[in-house]
Amino acid sequence: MNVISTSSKDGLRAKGGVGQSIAHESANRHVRGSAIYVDDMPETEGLLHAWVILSDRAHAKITTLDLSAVKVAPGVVCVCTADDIPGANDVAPILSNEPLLAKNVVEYWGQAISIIAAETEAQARAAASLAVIEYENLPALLTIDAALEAKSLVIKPMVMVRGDVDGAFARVGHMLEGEVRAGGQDHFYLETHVAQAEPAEEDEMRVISSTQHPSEVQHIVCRLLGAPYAAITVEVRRMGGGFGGKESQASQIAGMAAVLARLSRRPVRLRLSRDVDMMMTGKRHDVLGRFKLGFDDTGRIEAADIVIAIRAGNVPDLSGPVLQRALCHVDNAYYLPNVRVNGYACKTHTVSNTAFRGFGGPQGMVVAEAMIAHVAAKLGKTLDEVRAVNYYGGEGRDTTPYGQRVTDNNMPRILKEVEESASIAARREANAAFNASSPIVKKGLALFPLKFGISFNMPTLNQAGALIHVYTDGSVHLNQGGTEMGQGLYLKVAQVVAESFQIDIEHVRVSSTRTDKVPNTSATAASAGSDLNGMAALAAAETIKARMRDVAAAKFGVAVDEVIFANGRIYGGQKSLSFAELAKCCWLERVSLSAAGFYKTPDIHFDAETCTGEPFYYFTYGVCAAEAAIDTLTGENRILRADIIEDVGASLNPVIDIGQIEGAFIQGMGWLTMEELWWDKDGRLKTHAPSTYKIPTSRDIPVDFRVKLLGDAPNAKPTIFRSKAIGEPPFMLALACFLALQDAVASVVGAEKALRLEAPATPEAILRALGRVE
Amino acid sequence: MTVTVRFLLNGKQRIARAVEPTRTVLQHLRVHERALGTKEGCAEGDCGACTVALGRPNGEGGFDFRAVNSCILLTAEIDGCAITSVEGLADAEDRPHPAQAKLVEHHGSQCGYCTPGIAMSLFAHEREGRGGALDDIHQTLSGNLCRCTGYRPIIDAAKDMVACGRSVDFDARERQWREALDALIAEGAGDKAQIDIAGYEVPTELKDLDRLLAKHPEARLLAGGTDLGVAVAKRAENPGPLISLSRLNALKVIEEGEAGVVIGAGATYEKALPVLDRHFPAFADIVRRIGSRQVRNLATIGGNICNASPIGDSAPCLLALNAEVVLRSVEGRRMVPLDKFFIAYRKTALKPGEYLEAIHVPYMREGDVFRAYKLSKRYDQDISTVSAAFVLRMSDSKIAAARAAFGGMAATPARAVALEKALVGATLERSAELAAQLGRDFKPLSDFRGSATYRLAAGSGLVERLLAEVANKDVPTEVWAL
Ligand SMILES: Cc1cc2nc3c(=O)[nH]c(=O)nc-3n(C[C@H](O)[C@H](O)[C@H](O)COP(=O)(O)OP(=O)(O)OC[C@H]3O[C@@H](n4cnc5c(N)ncnc54)[C@H](O)[C@@H]3O)c2cc1C
Ligand code: FES
Ligand code: FES
Repeated sequence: MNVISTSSKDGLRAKGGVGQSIAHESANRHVRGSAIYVDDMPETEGLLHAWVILSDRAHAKITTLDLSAVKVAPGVVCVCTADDIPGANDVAPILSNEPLLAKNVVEYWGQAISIIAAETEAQARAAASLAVIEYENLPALLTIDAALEAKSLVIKPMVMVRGDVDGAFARVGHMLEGEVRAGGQDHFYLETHVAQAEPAEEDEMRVISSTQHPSEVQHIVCRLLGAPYAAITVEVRRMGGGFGGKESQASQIAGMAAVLARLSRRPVRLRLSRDVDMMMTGKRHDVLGRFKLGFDDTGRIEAADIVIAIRAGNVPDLSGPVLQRALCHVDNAYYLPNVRVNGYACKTHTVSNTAFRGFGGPQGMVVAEAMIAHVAAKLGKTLDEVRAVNYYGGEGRDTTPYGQRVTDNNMPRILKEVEESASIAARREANAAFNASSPIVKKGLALFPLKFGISFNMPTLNQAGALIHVYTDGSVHLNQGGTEMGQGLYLKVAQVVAESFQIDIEHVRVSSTRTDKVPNTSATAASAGSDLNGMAALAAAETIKARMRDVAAAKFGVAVDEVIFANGRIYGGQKSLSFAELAKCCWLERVSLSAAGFYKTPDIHFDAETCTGEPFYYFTYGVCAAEAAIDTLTGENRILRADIIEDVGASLNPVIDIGQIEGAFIQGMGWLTMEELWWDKDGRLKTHAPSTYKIPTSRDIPVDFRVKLLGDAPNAKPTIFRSKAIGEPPFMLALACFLALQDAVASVVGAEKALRLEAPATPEAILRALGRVE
Repeated sequence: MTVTVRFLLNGKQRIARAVEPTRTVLQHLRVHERALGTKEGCAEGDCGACTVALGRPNGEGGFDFRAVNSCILLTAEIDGCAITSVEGLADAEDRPHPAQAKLVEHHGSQCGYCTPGIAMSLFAHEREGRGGALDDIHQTLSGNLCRCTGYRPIIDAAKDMVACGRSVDFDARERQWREALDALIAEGAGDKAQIDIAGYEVPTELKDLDRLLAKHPEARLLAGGTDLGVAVAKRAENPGPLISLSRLNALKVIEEGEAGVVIGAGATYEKALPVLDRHFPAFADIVRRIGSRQVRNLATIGGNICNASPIGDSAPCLLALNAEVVLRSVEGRRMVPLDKFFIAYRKTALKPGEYLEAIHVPYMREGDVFRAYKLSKRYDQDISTVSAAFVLRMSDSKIAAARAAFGGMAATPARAVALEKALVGATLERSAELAAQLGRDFKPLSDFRGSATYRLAAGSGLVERLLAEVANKDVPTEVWAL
């Protein structure tokens, strides 16, 4: 299907159609505390509460697992270990053998060993503390370096090659080798993982889960219970944040609740405490990049031999696709004519890392920007000078390493707009003057250009469904396969439907996402939520609209193409009906007012084995210019200003998109400047709560924060109303902050030594890069 | 052992019976009241999702509403108070409070999970009559994490709310609520006896506290409960018998005396701030970085000292200022210099049956230089990696006497004696050599907040900052000044 033009009559448009800045569909409920999250659901008769017993070793054999005291503790109804799981003890989203509960061996500190259901949460928790578990320690690999050395990987290495790398190295004038590291990140959604399982007849069950991927929860619950998919319905109305953390990981929590519900035959709710959530569930992969570069005098890269190693943790989970996306973004906005990238997903005895906003993209770009920075430092050039000769564009310089052409490149335009609106040149001068007269506090400034591919790398996943009912009072019930985690997907899709029917958005009700209404869905991820589900909903709406149009044409006595839907009414000739009246007519005429819609992204293909193809339907672009200050005595730092222009195509809802940009950017800033996951030498995560793991607060945002959408830039591809995806790309714009901090460090120790800076750029990391801390 | 608690919830009279002393207000709201707008995000006072407004009756027929973290506040402690939760903000016609309306208008919610807590913090900001200064808004929001929005729209909502002025509607409601509370308290006067069950005591006179502690030296004192509440809520610890200081008004007094300020052990940070601002502004600036506003509304300086954490933030200032503590028991009082109070890791000079009554902070002499610094990964609501405070006495632009105290460098907050000696006679000039003297005083530990080498380097950096800052006021010495 193609994009339809929006209709209007006499300049009037329905309220809340596409392109309008309207508030989140639940905003009023949010501020009143009446939005219902899983833990706020009524406590049904007999509801049990669950708790999880975690391992306190990184790698060990379980020699004793004595739960006798747990079983007889007050209020305890059900205690479950790996052996008690009715079906397969496996929650792997892609591969297999990823246990829900550890059996015999634990592979990370915080791994679930047993689950308990009791009458109250306090009882379940108290009982958990009575477990007697003894271990025999096994050697643990805790870091990427240790795993690489031991050749410990969760999946086979990945390679992406283009051109003649070795030949190119022989020809180039300059060579260098470099390395870069960036840490992991906890999602810190405000709502921790939670699920409720309600057993019904025989093997049937309803599972309410805070999940980005209801279909996967359905499949994994079925695997754990040994039930057919049709027996289990999974539902989610909203999440209190997801960010990728509730993509594959939610099935563990839902699976635990479901297993306990099956065993006890009672409804069970499991809500992880913050500490358990942070210990037990996966995070962003930390990354180590190593590269050898060949380049000319201008800094143009001719050859790149790159290694990207990410810490997968104890099992693969989604590490394969994450690594793939890292590989596919190690070019960022730059043309690498001869390039080889070796990717390793390292098996370590730490929690299995997972999806997180950007999904490997940020890790790839950290390496990309480090390469630019190394070349610049080596040649004594600025980042922008080196970038300028490496950007995509020009004769034969428009194909990515995986073989996709970069068309409709908005980068030159955005760069120019940012350079002008943020007065980059003048501010650089001002900063140099400031630094000359300020011995302790130093400023830095840097740009970061972003190119990000939109679509799931795996073509199959780029499909979506929706289900729409029009009722005889003209109200519309909308159900689609995407989930709402705060990003405004429900609203955007409702706007699409309101636009299609030309009715005010208040007549469109979005209901919770359910596997029995829209089946076989993909995760709400990869920024593709509104691209996919918006199109599916549009298809459903247009189907119903065509039927309604036929009825109206007959009623008005006009040709079908003379019927116009506009501003809540349907017109034909001199006559008109309200939307509700026409709906009623359709019913009287026995015309169906219900339809399912389906969409699959066209034109994409990808071979995961060879890392080649055209995996992305289109690219999004953005530029951030950030200014930072560091304290050379303490390493304290602050982001003083950020100017962002982001390409969102023709925005479906500008305020929602601005919100996504700001939120993602601050989250990215947290990742690169302050959020630090810290394990002790025995593999215990010591930062597993907000008291110890610090995400940005209001004061941490740039003192001067300017965010703009690129004007007049409809998507060249026929996406939903020519919009572009927004969820993930702006996260990476925060790399500008890191580079600005590096620039400030460089003003003291020089560009080459400033390359020592590691992310997160905590005060300690800054002092290290300055050489003030060994 | 349980207690009966009488309080108002959103204006409605509540008598909660059979309340275990460890039940938090959050648990009470969510489990027992099924008031589900208030969320749990961490159960340790750090995220703000559980924020409610705690109203203590004031002298004007209404309440002093303050934002607090309901997850670490014990239900027993709200006896005689009014609690406003997010469900209680809308008016009789169900129109939202400006805090709520402005959050919607500025798109201040995305997933919405942090939003009730943020609405409550903004509500308290409005009730306290605070203005639109950005720093004040950051303080109000410092205890509310939002992972979705990036805060900008929330800050805008706060500014806009302030611009709307005071909610007259809520003023009227406060008066009605006050009548309801007074009636409830009067009615409950008879069952006070129920509270005085061993296990949770609420003395109203110091002499009662003396006696109680003499009889139950094992009992724990509960001041703001921001340390104790975390142990109960997050770690499910049972603290054993508790003696609440909430009704000991004598402990909450702050006096500006002849020789110095006397801070009652039960005075909260927020209460102490105006006095500290007058006499020890650098201390006040540190206090504004302790926890969040929610924490500071409950937490006491006394609790901070008695908790005796090596990274307690008031200790370095008080040590540098040469404070003395008044320790009291049935046997009477004794004064102990603060540097003799901290004995070992989390151990104080308090004897069984003894408690902290007050802290004496002598005024500085004219011309004394007082500076205090806190280093943490995050500016607001973070525990110090290193903290430091300095008092310098100058003579002929040379340092004549120096007191320097550090947190995060040893098992207790401690003075840096070698550094103090080295500073005497020095001129005010940035000197790395002088700063390095710190290495003779401390052998800090490595942990997730910072490595030993960082602590030493940054601690020395603070000495350099001190010298540079006092020597030349025109050069920026902190990124926060930009
Ligand atoms: C989210 C959060 C953030 C925090 N941030 C900081 C921070 O930035 N810096 C910092 O220093 N601290 C911080 N804290 C710790 C805590 O808030 C402070 O230590 C606070 O000052 C403790 O005071 P309180 O009144 O709440 O103590 P309580 O918890 O009531 O008591 C603490 C201890 O002192 C004892 N005690 C209290 N009063 C007396 C007395 N009069 N005599 C004898 N013993 C007594 C108690 O029995 C208990 O053992 C934070 C806490 C939280 C929850
Ligand atoms: S739940 Fe996080 S502060 Fe209370
Ligand atoms: S709106 Fe999601 S955490 Fe604030």
